[in-house]
Amino acid sequence: MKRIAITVLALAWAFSFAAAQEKLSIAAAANLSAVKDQLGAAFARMYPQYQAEFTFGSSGSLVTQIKNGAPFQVFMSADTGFAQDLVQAKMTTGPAKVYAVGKLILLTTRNLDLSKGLAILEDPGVTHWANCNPETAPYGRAAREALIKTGIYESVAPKLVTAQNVTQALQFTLTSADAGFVNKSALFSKEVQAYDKEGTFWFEVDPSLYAPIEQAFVVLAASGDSKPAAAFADFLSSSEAQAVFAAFGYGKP
Amino acid sequence: MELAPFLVSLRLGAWVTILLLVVCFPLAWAFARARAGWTVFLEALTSLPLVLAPTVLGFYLLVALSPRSPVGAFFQSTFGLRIAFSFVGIVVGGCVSGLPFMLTSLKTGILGVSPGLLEASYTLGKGRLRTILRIVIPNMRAALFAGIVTTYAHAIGEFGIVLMIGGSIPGVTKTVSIAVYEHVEALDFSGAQVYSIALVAASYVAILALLFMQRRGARR
Repeated sequence: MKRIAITVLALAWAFSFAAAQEKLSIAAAANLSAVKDQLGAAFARMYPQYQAEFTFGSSGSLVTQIKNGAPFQVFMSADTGFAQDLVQAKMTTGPAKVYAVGKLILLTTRNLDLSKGLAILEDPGVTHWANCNPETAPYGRAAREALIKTGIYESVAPKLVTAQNVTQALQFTLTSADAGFVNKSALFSKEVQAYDKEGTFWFEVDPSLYAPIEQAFVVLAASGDSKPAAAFADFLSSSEAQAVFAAFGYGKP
Repeated sequence: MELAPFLVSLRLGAWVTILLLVVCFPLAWAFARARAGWTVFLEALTSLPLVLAPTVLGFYLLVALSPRSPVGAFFQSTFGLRIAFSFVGIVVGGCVSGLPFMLTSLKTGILGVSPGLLEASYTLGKGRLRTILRIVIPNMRAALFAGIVTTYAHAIGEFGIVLMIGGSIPGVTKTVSIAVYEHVEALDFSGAQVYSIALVAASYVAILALLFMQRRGARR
């Protein structure tokens, strides 16, 4: 009896591995962190046999990690440049494909007169504003570009605090900075929901002030002949995935 | 290569070391002399930064120093100072994370001074302050030096906390370790090299000086 029980347990253990979903590791730009759960769930509905696991960072640092052998199968960049960088390094299985267009917002948790638009940063009431590093984070680059185009970058630069990725820019904005440039999808993360009042706590930066943040992904060559990666690539261009991105404030590619 | 990150790091190291020296000496004295059992709990608390992830410290400091918290609000209203994103902020962070380095060195040093010497001094009618200045400190020179060097080196190498509460403001909170990180992130490896080599060289010299000092102490 005991032997049978052990055999059954051993078989169950062995089969639990056979039945386990195949894992897919995705390196994703920090702005996608709010989308993760829904995107993962939509992917699981379409391909129940695979399980997506996300690692977040600034696009620049993820590219560095990938170039140095980080074992990711898909890279979801916050722009096309960083994805293109890997294509040129011949580290991808195909070209970079745009999956969503990011939108930039200025967020504050204080009583600021946002009707002034970007010029509010010149206000003496704003002593610190946060932006992510323009060299490594596409949202940071977009914000800098918008301020330069508006002609106020020089005057507000002394009050700038630089975050290492867009999520940290959000942390700064929620704690010590008076305002900060973040991705629109950040409005959907838990800590921010109290401030999701357009015009009071945030406004969308005029998209004509910056080059569109076309977020592209690539399937990495190091993944070999990865079926989960190919499935995920298919999924990203599906209407299901697009619906998730639209729900989180991203534009269509 | 910019010089500013080096200056920020050196200034950070100096402030942290001086402040900790002042704060830790009485604390180390008290811990070394403590008979009461409960002080061990206090001592454990001061050693916490040694093992705690810098991100935990950074997170708590970020929240504690925000103008929304009582501490941050006090500094904001009294001194008009926003601690997070300021040089004061990274000094505070450096002091918290460097505390155990200074404290353990000083405590070891104080315990290493023979009680006979102290008693002789007291018997000869010298007060406690004089005894500390003339007997204790000269006799714990090696430990004092070790405390200063490790604290200074650790403050310069501090990364996690500065990253989380500094905001990388050039000339204010952008230290060498942050500069290295940003250069690597921007895929500018040669830029990162310059700063890194300088850090390696400076750290090596510091450790070397420490070892020389220890040998000299052992020979005597």
